[in-house]
Amino acid sequence: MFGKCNDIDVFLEKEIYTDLMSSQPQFGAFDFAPSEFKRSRLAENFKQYRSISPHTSAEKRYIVPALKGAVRETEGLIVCQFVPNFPRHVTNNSDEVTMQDDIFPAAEKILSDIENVVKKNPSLKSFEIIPAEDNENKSPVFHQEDCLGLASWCVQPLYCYAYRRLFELRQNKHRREEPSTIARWLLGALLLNPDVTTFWNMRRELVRSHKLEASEEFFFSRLVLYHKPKCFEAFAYRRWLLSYILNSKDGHYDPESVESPLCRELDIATTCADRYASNYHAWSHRRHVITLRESHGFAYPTLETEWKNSLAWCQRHVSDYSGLSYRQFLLNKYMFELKELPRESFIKCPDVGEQWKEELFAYIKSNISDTGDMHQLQRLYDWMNAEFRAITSSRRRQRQTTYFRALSYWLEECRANDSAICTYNDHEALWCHRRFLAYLLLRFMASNHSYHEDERADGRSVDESAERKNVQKSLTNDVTVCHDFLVQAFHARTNKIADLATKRDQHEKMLVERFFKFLQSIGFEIRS
Amino acid sequence: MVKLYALSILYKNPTSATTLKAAYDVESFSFFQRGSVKEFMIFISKTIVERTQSCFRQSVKEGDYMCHVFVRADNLAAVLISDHEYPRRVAHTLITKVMDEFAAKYPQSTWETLNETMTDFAQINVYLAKYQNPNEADALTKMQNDLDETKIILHNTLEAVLKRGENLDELVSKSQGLSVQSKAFYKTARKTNSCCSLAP
Repeated sequence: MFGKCNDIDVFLEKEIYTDLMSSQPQFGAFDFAPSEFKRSRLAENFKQYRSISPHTSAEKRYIVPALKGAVRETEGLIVCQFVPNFPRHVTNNSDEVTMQDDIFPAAEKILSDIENVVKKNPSLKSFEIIPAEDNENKSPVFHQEDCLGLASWCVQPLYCYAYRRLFELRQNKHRREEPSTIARWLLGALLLNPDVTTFWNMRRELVRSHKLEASEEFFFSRLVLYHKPKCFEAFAYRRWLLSYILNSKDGHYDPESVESPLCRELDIATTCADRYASNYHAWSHRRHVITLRESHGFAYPTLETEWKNSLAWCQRHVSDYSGLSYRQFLLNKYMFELKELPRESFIKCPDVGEQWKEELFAYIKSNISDTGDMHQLQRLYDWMNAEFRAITSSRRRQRQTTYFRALSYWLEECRANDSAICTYNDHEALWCHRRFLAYLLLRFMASNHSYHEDERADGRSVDESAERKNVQKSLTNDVTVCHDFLVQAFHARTNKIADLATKRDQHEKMLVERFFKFLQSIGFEIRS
Repeated sequence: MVKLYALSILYKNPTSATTLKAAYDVESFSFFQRGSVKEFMIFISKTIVERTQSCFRQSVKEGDYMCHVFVRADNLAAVLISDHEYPRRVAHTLITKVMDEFAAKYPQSTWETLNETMTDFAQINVYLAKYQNPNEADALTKMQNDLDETKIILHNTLEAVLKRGENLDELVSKSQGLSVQSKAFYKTARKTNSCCSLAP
């Protein structure tokens, strides 16, 4: 049947998209059962071109390049002619019309199917494309267990359809369409290809003119992000929506509420980071949310849970630097910017300050072997404790606690990094992160020297007693000694894991060497 | 991502391999892919066991995935499909352990006649869940750290494991265990250049 030209006039038994078939004339089918999509497209094309050149009794031919064939109409009966290796330009009769490829009659039906699912199921969580080469006369929209799927065969024609409609509308200022229709086209176009800024802008316009609900838009862009987790435009749209609802007059959000809109953003950022490796867009979205949290004074999500969750994520994705770079952002913030804010758990449990101190000393202790150092360390520890008890001013007490709090974050991260390097062979990300930790320690020590000097100057200006000044001086001294110990411990620990790494993997050896070069270049050395 | 996807115990007949018990974790894949992903993991596990000599340990990398296999001298085999970040040593410790436990429950004489539905070995799911975190799991197995990592043969692609003249595309298209849907998935994945890996 593919060998020569075939004239087939078999009538169709049944159509799913019957609305397209309702009008006369009767329509010929093909003996090898072409896909429903092709048939319906043919039908639509046919109707359209019949209206261009009205029905006559004379025979007419329409060339359908997309179908590799021609349609012939004789006295109300349409005959399809299929020609294998159909040449692109065939000239048959004088009044032949070449049909365009962009008309896809099933499009509206499919779009409204998708729209129905999205609107009716508020717990829908995913959208994906299902590979399918042929349509097998089935609807391409699948909906099961809160998951939406679209068969891949209809992606291209559907997108082309929506795209053309939207740009026709956009370019023709005088044309008016129902907002709901525009929204439906946008839904289809953006689900399939969310990287078109114009479409998102059209949605923004609809939200602004109150044709679309902001809450539904959050829901919709979440679906988009499930399908394309690295889509910058979708993240940007969510950020716009966030500022839109937070700044709108009627929208009032209780900053103390656990159900903050920001928590949802963090969830989405996590899902996106999970679904696409090195997804920096997701993490910068997260940074934005944390910054928003501060500027709007939200209590939730708490910084403590954010610290824990991001650590857990990094432990599951050991070679993904995007997560680690976010941790660096948090570390910077928690160690330097939140000087006066205690860790949240501190409020619940005042002893936690002691605990931080102890953990820090335990870390140093476990990494120092020299007995002389050990004794000195013990002395320092006792001294610090005694002094802490002796301090009566709550402000200064607070300062010591703040100091150990900042270091507690560093220590926690450092420990996680130690154990990750030990468990997982050869990951450059881990060694790069370790560089940052070394650099951060140096920066912290530098800033704390000046910090204590500030305090001394501060003390002088309010004319405090000489005795107190002495205490401050000794505190500064202690801090220096403590820093030396910390540097020493970090060095010892690094040497230990570097040994392990060099032995187990040739490539990792190179990473270790680079790491030590970096340490030298930033002047990370043990002072004697 | 440090993750385990499938753990299966197979028996290697002279001509083919049969699955005796398996556990899967396909939650991280999108919903409509899960069935195909599972079919593929069964297919890959079988293929790889059939092409591994007894007493050999192999770790085969394919895209972002890693397939660890060990066939014992008595032809009992186990396959663990994990992410490529998962530590090799822990992976091989796990499959050794699972096989030991399985052999203790079902004696060697029964293996030839056993099939997946008959076998009652729920333990395998527990292992798959527990070993998702290699740190925790490793602490439990620290005692038997005698596994020599240098004995594991490494391959960088799945093709490297196949016999001469075989190729994956052909094996996939000939396979009866894979549905039409799964084959379509495979083709799409191949086209987007992300190997047979069923990338999400």
